[in-house]
Amino acid sequence: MSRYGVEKACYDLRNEANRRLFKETPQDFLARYPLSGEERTQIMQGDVGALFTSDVAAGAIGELMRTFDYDMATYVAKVRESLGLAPDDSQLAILRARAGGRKRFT
Amino acid sequence: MSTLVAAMAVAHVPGHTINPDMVPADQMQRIRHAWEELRRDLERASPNIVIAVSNDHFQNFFPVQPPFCLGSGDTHLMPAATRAAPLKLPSLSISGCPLFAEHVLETADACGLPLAFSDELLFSDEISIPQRFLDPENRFKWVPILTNCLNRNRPSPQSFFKLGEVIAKAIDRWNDDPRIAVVATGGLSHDPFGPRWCLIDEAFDRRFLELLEAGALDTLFEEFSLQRILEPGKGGTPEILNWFVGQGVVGRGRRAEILCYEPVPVWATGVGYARWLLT
Repeated sequence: MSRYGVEKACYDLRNEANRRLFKETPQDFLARYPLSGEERTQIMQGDVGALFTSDVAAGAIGELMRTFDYDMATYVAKVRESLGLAPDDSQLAILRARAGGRKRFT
Repeated sequence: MSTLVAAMAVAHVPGHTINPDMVPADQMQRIRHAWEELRRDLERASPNIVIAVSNDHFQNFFPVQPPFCLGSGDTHLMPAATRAAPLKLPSLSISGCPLFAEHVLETADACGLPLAFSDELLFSDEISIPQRFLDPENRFKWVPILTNCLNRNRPSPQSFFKLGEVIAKAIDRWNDDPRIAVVATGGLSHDPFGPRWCLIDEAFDRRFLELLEAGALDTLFEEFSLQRILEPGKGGTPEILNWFVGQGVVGRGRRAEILCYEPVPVWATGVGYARWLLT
């Protein structure tokens, strides 16, 4: 387990050229980082839930959310599922309101 | 010897400028009122320097991850150009104070808590939002200190408190600028990118603020261990560590006055605004 390597790979995805390389040839991009085979697979599959349970910094995982174009509800569902947490309806309502940019959410 | 003329703690959530119109009107009114109170406090205090303590949001603290890093530049761009559009906040050049920054670095080292420093910190919402609400005419010199709340190996509440004590000592030993204010800034319970994203632990927030208001420092340390602070969400709740710095600056026994607390789900955080009573 190399949390540092995972975080470095994820943070580097903030760079447009890196994101493009990752999408085109993920193996080549990830070869730069000290990762276990399992970590490599988790990043390639956008498995944000598994990475969250490995205590990777949330900000780093957030870069994967952007790279894989997960909306907030999808992302949270993956993280909650990995932790064995059931969906929370009130949370989903808020996430959808945010995504919709609705005025005056109560 | 300089004097601490104001000490306050505020939220810095980007929703303040991105989507205030999504917050219920009565809630937004109370938040605006708190900002206005604190802005007037600062205006009355007329500080030569404002020391602002907030956490990095991953834009500076990777791959190097210091516990605390002081902005030593003679100006700071707040927010950084790349963050202006997302924050709906124009970038402004804010005056710094390199001489005082150097003095803080020396004081911190003498106190056994050496700090990292940089002339080129990138700023996002963490200090830019408080700067804009508290100093809209851009009159004051700002000395920022960024902290590690969100990465692994973050310092303990006691270390954050000690940083506050270091700042107090630096103020006490400084002669060039007679009036100095401190702004500690961070959200309360929140969990961006975590399982509790947009869920707020009101009981946690209210208890934290209650203890600050009571000046009950020992209980605060006892109940708000690092482990406990992570429970409502490690993605953001550790930002309350910055509030310990404010308490460290004013010292043990000083009470805070809570001007406003609001759970704001659509901003994904509980927000608090407070000032410490200095007399």
